[in-house]
Amino acid sequence: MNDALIEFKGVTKIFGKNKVLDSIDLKIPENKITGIIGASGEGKSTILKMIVSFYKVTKGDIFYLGRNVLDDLKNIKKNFGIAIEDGSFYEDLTVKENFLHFGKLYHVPRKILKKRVEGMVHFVGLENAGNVLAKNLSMGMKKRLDLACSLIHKPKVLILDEPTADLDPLLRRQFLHLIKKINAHGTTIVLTTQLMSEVEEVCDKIAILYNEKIVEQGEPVKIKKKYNAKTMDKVFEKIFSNKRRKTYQESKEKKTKFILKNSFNKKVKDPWEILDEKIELNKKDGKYANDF
Amino acid sequence: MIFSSILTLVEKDLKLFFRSRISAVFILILPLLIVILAGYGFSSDKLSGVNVAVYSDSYSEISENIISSFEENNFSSRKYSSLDECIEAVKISNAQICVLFPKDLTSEGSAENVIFYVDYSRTNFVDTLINLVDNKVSSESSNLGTALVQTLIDNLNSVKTSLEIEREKLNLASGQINDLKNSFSLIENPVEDLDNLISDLKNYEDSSLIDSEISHLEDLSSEISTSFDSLVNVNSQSNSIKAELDSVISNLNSLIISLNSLNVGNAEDIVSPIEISLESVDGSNSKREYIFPIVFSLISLFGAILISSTLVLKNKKTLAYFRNFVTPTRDFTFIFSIYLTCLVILLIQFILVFMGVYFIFDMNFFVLPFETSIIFILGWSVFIFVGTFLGYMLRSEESIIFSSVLVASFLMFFSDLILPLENISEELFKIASYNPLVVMQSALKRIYLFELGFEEIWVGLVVLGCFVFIFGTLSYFVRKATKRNL
Repeated sequence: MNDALIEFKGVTKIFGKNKVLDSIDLKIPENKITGIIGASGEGKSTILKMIVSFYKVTKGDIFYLGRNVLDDLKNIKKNFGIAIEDGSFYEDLTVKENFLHFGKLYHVPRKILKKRVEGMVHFVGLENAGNVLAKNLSMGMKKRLDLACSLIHKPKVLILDEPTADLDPLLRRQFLHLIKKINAHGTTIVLTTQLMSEVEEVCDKIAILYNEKIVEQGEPVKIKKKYNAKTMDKVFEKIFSNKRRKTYQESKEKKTKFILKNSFNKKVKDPWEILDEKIELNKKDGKYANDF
Repeated sequence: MIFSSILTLVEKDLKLFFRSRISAVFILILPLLIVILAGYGFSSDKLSGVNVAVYSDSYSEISENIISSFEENNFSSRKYSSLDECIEAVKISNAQICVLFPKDLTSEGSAENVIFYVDYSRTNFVDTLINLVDNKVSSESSNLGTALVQTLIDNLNSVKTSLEIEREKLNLASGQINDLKNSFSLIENPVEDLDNLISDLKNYEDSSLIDSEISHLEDLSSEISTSFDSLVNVNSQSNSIKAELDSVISNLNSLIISLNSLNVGNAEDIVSPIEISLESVDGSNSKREYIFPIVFSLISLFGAILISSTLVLKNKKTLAYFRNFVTPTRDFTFIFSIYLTCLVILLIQFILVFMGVYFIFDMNFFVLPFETSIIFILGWSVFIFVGTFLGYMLRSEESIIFSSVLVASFLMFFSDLILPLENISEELFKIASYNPLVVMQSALKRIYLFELGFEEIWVGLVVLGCFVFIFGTLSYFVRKATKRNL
């Protein structure tokens, strides 16, 4: 039985000549919080943006409720909410104007929208900033505004890209609490982060992205047990050191093979050997007599 | 649903536009200022501030007259000490034209011509200037010619009058000869009667006395006969004089008829037999009337292209672009909302402009309101979609703004504004006549200046409609193709 709400099957993404993701298989369960973790530049945001088809997959497919997202864009857009790392709202509109604008674009009925805007302002703790221009908000407030904008149409799936980046510890805690609260209302959440503590705190499932691939996915407890680690940080370290070692060995093997291959074809001289030979020759010619 | 989304986006765009109050006021008021300046600047039909540089090795009275006639047209003239300086004055824009007068220009003319040196880089101005200066020189030249011809005509008239007097005298002489001849015809030859008398006398008996009388009478008869012969001779001579006199009179008559048939009493009729006068087809002399359709078309061109392209740019560069993308909003909705926003901004701009024109210059541009509105909306639509297309096609701010200005300038260059379209090659002329700026401008002229209706502008409407469709469709597909590539 397929229990995944969203499923990646052999998804590869290439930007120009740069391969970002390679044959990714990932299952995102319904009503849970799934965290995608990985180092900076590993392609976490790309995964999220591919779900809402902002980026098209180069190879493979992404399914939502068993249907290819590209064939069901209207439904995807209606049921998904997404907050990206930099925020996505109008800086020259006030908090409430942003809510109203995006609410209308999501076709929320006017009467409901008005009430929802008021409710949302309270929900994200921006009740005193409802009529403030977004550009005048603090970083934490902007994050909350962005989150609220992605929730204004009550999505079934909420996608959060680095939701706690640039926040101080107190704000981060508040934000994670908010995420849990949203999930408690039955919203499936997919988030990306670099912070292992967050993952342990909120995620029901994690997927670890390394070197273009998902190298591990499952419940945090089970993964910790598998790697015999007490924290996710340790798991991460172990995975990375194993992978690094493996990669190092692989590259060393490749290098050795290359040298051996070349040595069969032609005798490769040591550069120092070549230099010594040259010096000897010059000495014979009387050059550098005083230099050496 | 779609309409509600369009309204939402238009409302947002207008809110953002008016939120930056200074730039909004600037964008809305600037066209009005341009129109007011153009209206005041082109209210006269005369050239002003024209400096004429003149040079001659020796100025005659005639060349001085020509120079002073320049002043009548508000031209200021300045004499230079050499031809090079005169030409240099044109090069450095101290004067717009250099006029070289031949040495000692006289009423008999000169072997050399009056030469104009002009800066042809000022293409749109130089023809007007040459025309005006040439008119002044020609006018003076024409005055001189007129005076000379008038003298000639006066002399001819006086000859004609003298001839007529002489003809009368000859006629009188001819009449007198006739009278003489008539009198002569009445004289009968008395010699015959005298001979009869002599023969009667010969038959008388007292012959001695009679013989002496007879002899006396015969002498008399012989004398009379000689005299009569002389008279007959005079008579025949007077006939030949009369014939010659009649011939002279006949020649004089032909001459007088020829002189009368000239029928020219005024020298100007000979110097300038065909008078040209220019009349405006709409009866107006102010350039303001002609300049407004051009100014309105230009404001529409630059306003629409720049506003729409920068609006697309703003929408692409805003943080909210991503969220707009993930909302269930169609590409068509985004494009149409930008189109409507631009249309609203242009409408506000032009309402201010039309009000300004109406209250300041007392001019009503909406002589045919329906036709005028349709032309404006179609023209704006073309330029808005051109800007939208550029905005979606290009990525960077610089390239979008630069290409918008470039396209607008290109359309302006291939219109009548810088060079008359008739100056370019025939093939290019045909293409340029479909330039939306040219189409809009000529349709506005026809409506506003000549009050021509739909029958005369429908081709222009179809052309503009086609452009709207082409650029609207292009914008849609370009947005679709580039919306993920920011």
